[in-house]
Amino acid sequence: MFAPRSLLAVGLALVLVGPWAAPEVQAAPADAKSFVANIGERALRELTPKDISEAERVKRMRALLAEAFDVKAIGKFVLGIYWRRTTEDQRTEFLKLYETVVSHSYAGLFKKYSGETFEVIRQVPVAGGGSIVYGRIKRMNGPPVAIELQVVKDSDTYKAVDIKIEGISMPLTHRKEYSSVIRRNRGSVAGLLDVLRKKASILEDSISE
Amino acid sequence: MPSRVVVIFAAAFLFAGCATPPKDDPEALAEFEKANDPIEPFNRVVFDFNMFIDKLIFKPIATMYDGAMPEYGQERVHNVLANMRAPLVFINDALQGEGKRAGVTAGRFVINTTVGVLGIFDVAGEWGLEPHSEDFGQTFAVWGAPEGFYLVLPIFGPSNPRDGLGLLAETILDPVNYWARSENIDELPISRMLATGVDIRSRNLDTLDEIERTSLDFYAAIRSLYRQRRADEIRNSRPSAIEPAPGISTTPNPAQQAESAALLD
Repeated sequence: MFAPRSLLAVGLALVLVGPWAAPEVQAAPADAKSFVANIGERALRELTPKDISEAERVKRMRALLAEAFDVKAIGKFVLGIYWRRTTEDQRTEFLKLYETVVSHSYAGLFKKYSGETFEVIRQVPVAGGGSIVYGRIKRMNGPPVAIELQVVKDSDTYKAVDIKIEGISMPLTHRKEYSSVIRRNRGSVAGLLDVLRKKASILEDSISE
Repeated sequence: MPSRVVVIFAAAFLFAGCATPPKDDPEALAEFEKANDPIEPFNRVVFDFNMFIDKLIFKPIATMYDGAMPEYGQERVHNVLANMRAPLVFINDALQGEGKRAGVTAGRFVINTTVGVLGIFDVAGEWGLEPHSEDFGQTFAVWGAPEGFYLVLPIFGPSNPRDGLGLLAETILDPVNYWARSENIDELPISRMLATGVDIRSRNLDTLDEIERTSLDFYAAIRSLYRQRRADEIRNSRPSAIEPAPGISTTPNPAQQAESAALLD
């Protein structure tokens, strides 16, 4: 006797509440390839429109970065030998500033795109764990841009730990650049943080109205 | 005039001197050596000089060109320049023993010069013969020549002794310029070089601005970008050795696959 009625109630509840209760929940990606395909499509869809403000573009990039990238692992790699020489407070500040600079940088790179599509080519397991997914941004004019993402499994989803554009790794470039800044500041991470703080505030000021 | 330029750079070299390695810090010293930039102070002077000239001359010209010439026209100009470079690419494909790529380049040159009207239209590309680039620096690398230290050349920018030598070989041996000189069309090599400069600079306007805007040390960022890009070009974009080599087939060998699957789980 109770069955049809409660089923109906459950059904109604799902119909009524379902879409509002969980609007953002997406199925966990089946493999690294579909995870990367999702990020690529999302980046092109959300970051390339011409009718959004720069502040909105950076905000979207920041969200994508936090969701799809292991920023802590990347930040640790970027500081390299200096990671061990930083205090917990310095690390926290570094990661926060690094996230800001990277968000501005990627948002800026996507800004000039329009009408491109992203396609995943293949996935190759890495000896140390995780896999490298090869893809490309196909453009209307000109040759495609080769993209490579190294991803690792993170509970029921994935996180990217390295991104290469035309064979150039962004984290590696930052590591080289930032270690040069540290060296020019007599080996001081505090010196890097000063420079990073200034850069982050210039970039943030540039998008505030 | 050129001798005066040489004197200025010799003076800059003496004045700027060499980089000071962090001798008392072994880890930092290892990082320093990996940067492989023993004449960094001199390189930075040349880099600043290049940036100055760029902002004064090259960037404004490239910006004007980019603004005045419709994209369609820019593509045509780029195609003609790329087609003129094809014989040089072909020679380097051949010298590297890349038979298939040499065939593609030769096919592209024949098709685009004839059907594509002197290279204006990339017909070969539409028929599936995708373009690629090669130069003597890459050939020397394939032959086993080390890149040597980082070197910023006046005007030409990021380089190293190997790529610098490649650039020199190119100016002497480029078949199209060679032909132009023998036919007494002396304007061709110089106008081609200027056009190539404008073409390259205009295609990189946004990207370079973006890197400069978000970098903490533009010089160090460009140094790293140049090295990585060259390494990728030399490998012809094949995956590097430190990554598991997937070879030509898209499926890795089963042992590797099992090992990675175990690590993934």
